[in-house]
Amino acid sequence: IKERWEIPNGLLDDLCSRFILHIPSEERDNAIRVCFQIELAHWFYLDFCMQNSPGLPQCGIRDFAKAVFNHCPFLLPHGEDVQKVLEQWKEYKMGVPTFGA
Amino acid sequence: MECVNKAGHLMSLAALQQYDPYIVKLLDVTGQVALYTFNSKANEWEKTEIEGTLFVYARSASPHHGFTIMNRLSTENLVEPINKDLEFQLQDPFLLYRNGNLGIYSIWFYDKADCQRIAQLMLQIVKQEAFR
Repeated sequence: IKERWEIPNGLLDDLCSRFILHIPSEERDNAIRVCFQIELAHWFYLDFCMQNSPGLPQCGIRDFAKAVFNHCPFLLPHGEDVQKVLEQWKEYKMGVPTFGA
Repeated sequence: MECVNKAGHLMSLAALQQYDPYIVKLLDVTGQVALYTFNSKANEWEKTEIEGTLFVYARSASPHHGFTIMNRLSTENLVEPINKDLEFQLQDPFLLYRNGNLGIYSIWFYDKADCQRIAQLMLQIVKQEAFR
């Protein structure tokens, strides 16, 4: 059964290539760093992809990150739990001061 | 992490083929570049609205090589065929080039080693193209 918020595979190929797959390996091997890249890809998805293709599903960062990790299981080579990774990322973000945002 | 690279390459090849079905092989990639253009009237470099992932690839039709910057700032990607008219100059971490339309550009690389490696690859392709 297709989930309501499913993003087409071709678009995930594109977004992952643009933002995630080719960042330096020391960053790509760190799930928290990957989450930051996923966040940038999510903004791009909302700002451009959804504007250009109104049929695309609206989805929040959680569902979007799940879709990305689902599409690229090799980003979590130790079988980490996506939910847990996202919670760790949120915690990390709260602890890191951001400026001007 | 070789498997990540392989899976990632296959995925990116598929992504690029959505724009250009003649692309057959990825030759190199680097994750973080930004494009500058030379404004000859003002005699200065200007940053363009293009930055993202750079791919160098081979095509099964003419032009037989090209590179693309998949842009993170908008959906407008840079696409440049690599032919004998392309002139490169390495000033790492910048790779300058001039194309057949006399546009002068500079690609800034986050990674200096990637800049040098890709500069070598581009020069090698231009040489090949000159003999075609």
